[in-house]
Amino acid sequence: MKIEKLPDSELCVMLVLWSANEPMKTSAILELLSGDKSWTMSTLQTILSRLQKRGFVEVTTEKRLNYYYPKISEDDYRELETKSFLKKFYGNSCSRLFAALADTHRLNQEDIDEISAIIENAKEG
Amino acid sequence: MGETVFTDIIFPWIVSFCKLARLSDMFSNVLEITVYASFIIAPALIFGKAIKKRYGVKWRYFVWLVIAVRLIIPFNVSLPERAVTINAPESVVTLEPNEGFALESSESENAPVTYSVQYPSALRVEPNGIITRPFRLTAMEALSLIWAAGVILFLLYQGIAYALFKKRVKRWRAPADEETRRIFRELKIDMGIMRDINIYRCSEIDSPMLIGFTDTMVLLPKNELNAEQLALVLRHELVHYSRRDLWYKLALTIANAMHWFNPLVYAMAKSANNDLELICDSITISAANKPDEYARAMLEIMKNSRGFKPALSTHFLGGKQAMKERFRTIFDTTVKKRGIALLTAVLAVSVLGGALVACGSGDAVENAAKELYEYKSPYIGNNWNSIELFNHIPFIADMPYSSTELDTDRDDNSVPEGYGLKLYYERRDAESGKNLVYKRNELSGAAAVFLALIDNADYVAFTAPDYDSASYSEFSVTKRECADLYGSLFTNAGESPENFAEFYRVIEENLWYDGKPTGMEAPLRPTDIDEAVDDAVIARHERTAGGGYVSVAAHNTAINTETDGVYTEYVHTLYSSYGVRDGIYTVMSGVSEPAIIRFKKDENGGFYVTEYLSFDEIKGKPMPEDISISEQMWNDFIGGKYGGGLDEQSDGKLREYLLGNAIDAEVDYDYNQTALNYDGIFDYFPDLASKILSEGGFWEYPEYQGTKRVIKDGKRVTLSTDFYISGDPKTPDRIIYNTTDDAGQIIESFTVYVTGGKTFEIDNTAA
Repeated sequence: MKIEKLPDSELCVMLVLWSANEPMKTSAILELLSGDKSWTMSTLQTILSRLQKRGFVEVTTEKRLNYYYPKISEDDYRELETKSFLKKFYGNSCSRLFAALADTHRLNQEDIDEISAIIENAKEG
Repeated sequence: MGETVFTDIIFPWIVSFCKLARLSDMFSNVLEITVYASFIIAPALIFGKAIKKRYGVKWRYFVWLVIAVRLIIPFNVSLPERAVTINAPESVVTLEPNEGFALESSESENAPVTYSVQYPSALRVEPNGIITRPFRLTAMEALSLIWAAGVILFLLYQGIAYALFKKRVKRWRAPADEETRRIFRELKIDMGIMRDINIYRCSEIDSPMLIGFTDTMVLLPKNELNAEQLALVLRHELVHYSRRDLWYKLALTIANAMHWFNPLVYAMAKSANNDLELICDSITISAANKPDEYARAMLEIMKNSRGFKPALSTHFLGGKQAMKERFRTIFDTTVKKRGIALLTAVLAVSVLGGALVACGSGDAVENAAKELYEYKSPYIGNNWNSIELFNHIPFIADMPYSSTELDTDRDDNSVPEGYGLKLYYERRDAESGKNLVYKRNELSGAAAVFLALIDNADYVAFTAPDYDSASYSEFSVTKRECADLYGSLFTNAGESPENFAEFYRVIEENLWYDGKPTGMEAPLRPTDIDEAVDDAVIARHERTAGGGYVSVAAHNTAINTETDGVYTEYVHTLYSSYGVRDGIYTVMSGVSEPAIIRFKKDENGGFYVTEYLSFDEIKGKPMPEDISISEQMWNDFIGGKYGGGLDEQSDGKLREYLLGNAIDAEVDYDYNQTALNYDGIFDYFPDLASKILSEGGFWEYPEYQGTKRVIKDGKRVTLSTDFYISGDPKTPDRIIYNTTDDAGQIIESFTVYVTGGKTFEIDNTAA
């Protein structure tokens, strides 16, 4: 099946579904989304049905309630989006105009071991 | 084709952009700033580690801030060489506002300028005699263009990378779970942050971060942190927020962009970004006091990162060293001397910051000389360079010329001989309509500068309005004269920038003196008796000219005597003036008046006036003993046969006439003829006049009455001006100005009513 690039609003719903480990009720999705934009039940339902048509979500019905769960994994979908040649621009370190807690690049296992050692030494000392 | 587009359009455009934006000036400032800033960046980097042990890194945060701000501002703070400059009023050049000057017609009638094949260096001579491609970039300007391009590329790259990154994280963000949101809310309350900062999970990032200048948000990667760790990590980001660190980073980025060629600035930006993290770490730990938990949270984040290494991340070489350094710092429990650190930082910053400003200031005269030297050329035929050189001489910047001409034909009969630059000056500024002031000594000084730098130039000739009469006259400065006057100072000036600077300083210093501007030799010459007479007459009549100008056309000083150092002169002056006289804008030309003036000599041998007896004071009185003219002559003049005061000569009628009728009266020297001139309306309706003239209409009586078709706002219109002179002081004269479209419809109409030469009214309702 061909995976299409999702519009922002549909991705937003997918992100919620991906973050949950079990099928979600519409009302539960809406509750999580309401922290962001002013989502209404009807827009959410429209989007869910669109996602269903695209083959992104599957729905099961239980006690007359619809439960949604992702049919395409987050990693598969991300794979598609990051194929863009602009990918290199997305790397955190190209832009310096944000404040990241840690510079996570160019660290290998040895580095991490070394840092762990620093923490252990500090605890002992 | 492609080549012509480049040479005729693109290249000249680049050159003019370069000149207009004064890029090379800006770039040389940037260079200076970069050098001085490097002297502070380097030690701050080198000794930073040693100082850090004792004082932490907060001091350096301030140092970087001050340097970044200084690096961003591409100007130097310099005090003007001369705080006050006083221009002698004698040097004011004036005349009737309607004085005509038929320079343009004579130019085309005279021998056309030809460009000999000896000077093709940068010129391309078209068959019609037009010279094209007289554009040239100096090395400095070329470098400054490269610099500007680098700045733009750097900023574009950073801007695009930021925009794309932000767009992506916004798309991939999902609302954080309730527990995270609660911790975040509590932290915000604890830290007193009122603003609505949102928190999201974002699977696209590896490290928690704060992003967004206006829509600030905190993003969390998908990590399994416990609540305690999460609180520490979020606190760290909120510390960034409350310290406005994003703006600090922006300043650093801009400074880096403007100094992209200086590796020390990259090092500084890198160090500053690390310092920010260290400071936030220490603030977070001192607030929460859980260094172990904090370090473990950081390690957790790093372990879970996907180790994605983007291709263009060279800016952060050595990033892992910095990370290890952070861990060591977290567990560095030595107490930093905060108070001293702050004091040190403040002291260092104020001393160094002050030094940056002071060092950057330079000397205005020296800078000007340096800039002018860039136009040094062997050939005057390099048209553009020659004109630009002249345009850049600072002390004549307030004396705009109206046109220039290059004499590059040795075989013509021009005077003086050889190759030269001719400049023409108008009495009135075409844009503002104001009278311009020309100072000969300054023009002469500019000529000397020009001749010192253009090897094969023989002279500079000026045609400028006279300061003492209605006419224009030509004067020139030749290379030979300059060599005689300034000696080796002049002849060696073109050999090196230092020599030129020395010469330029002498020129600059000699421009400002209190004497009369009559050319290069003027500074050395005391005022002679003729000049003293003119000065006295002008001073006497300036008061009656009422804010206008007085000039002396001629005076007769045939007779004078000397007794005990007092020189007495019987003077018969012919003066002109214009200005508002008794409330009426009045032009008088050739008013003759006898007077007796007494002088003394100053220590330099210059004359100064001790006594001025005007006509009113001597009429009807016997001839003083120190005047030795014949009795007959005294009676003729003082009795009013050949001259006399303004009112005297016309039995008061002229005065009456002026007061009663004139808007702008011209009175010839025998007072018999008078004429009204509506030019004075300019001064009553300056807005209207400038509007009409700017549209291309006519507004001068009587010769510029007529119609003209022009394109206005994309439409073809007819402008017309008509004068209806009633000839009766009680019936108003009318001046009608109309703008009519092609269909004959009046678009705009002004009627000016002038009654008895005194009352003016504007009616701008379309007829």
